[in-house]
Amino acid sequence: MVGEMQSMNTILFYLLAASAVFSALATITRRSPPASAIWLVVSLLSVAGIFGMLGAPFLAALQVLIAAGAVMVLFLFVIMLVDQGEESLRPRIVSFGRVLGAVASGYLALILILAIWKPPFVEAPKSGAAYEAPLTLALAVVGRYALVLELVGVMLLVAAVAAISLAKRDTTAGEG
Amino acid sequence: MVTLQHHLILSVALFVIGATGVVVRRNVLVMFMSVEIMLASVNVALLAFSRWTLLPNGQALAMFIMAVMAAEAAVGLALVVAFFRLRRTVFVDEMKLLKG
Repeated sequence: MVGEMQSMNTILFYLLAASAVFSALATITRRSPPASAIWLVVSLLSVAGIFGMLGAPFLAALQVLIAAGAVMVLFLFVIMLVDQGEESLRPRIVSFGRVLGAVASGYLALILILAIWKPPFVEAPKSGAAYEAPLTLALAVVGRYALVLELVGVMLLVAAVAAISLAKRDTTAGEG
Repeated sequence: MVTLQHHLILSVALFVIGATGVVVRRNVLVMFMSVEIMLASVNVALLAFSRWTLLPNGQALAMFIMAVMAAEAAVGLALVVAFFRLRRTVFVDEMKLLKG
């Protein structure tokens, strides 16, 4: 029974990982921005599934609500605000710089994988309900990381004000 | 069997795909989406480390990264809207001037 659960988890991990990687690739290769946005939603939802399997159900929920929900709605709004129809679907240009960029990314992947390739390869220790409970995370956030939480709140306020003032139409231009 | 390295390799794969997207795409909106992929990949690594050490620190950090992601998207997209109003383009190879 335990072995069955194990292999179920393994299959689920590979399915979610494959869907995350495939839809991330689709995100950066689709030509039209709305298609990219929808593929990005699929990728972020797969990552949310991985979060859930890593014993972080609260963060999986946050990923669905914030990343795949709120941020993607914002993205789609802006795409519709700025999209220029045919102009945004210009033909691809395969330039030297872009090939070089892709090759450099492959090299980055190689050295990162070499850096993390450290035996022993072990399965996760037993976690139990205490680790998975959102209470554990909450106590860490309002305890040890209380100052960081305050700073994040200030950062969100500043970001909201900055976004409003940046996107606001300048109504005073030409008067002074 | 799923080990820590499985999750780290997934994280590396997503991060590199995101980095490639930032480098090769010219549409600034798609570049922002690639940054979102990179941030999600970092969260995968953090949560995997958190799970394998059974400490909630990685989870707390991942939560703060989500807040940063939301703020980054808000400010970045506001910049895109402001720039589009000025120049009528979203392509980075046409963003050459620092002045308005």
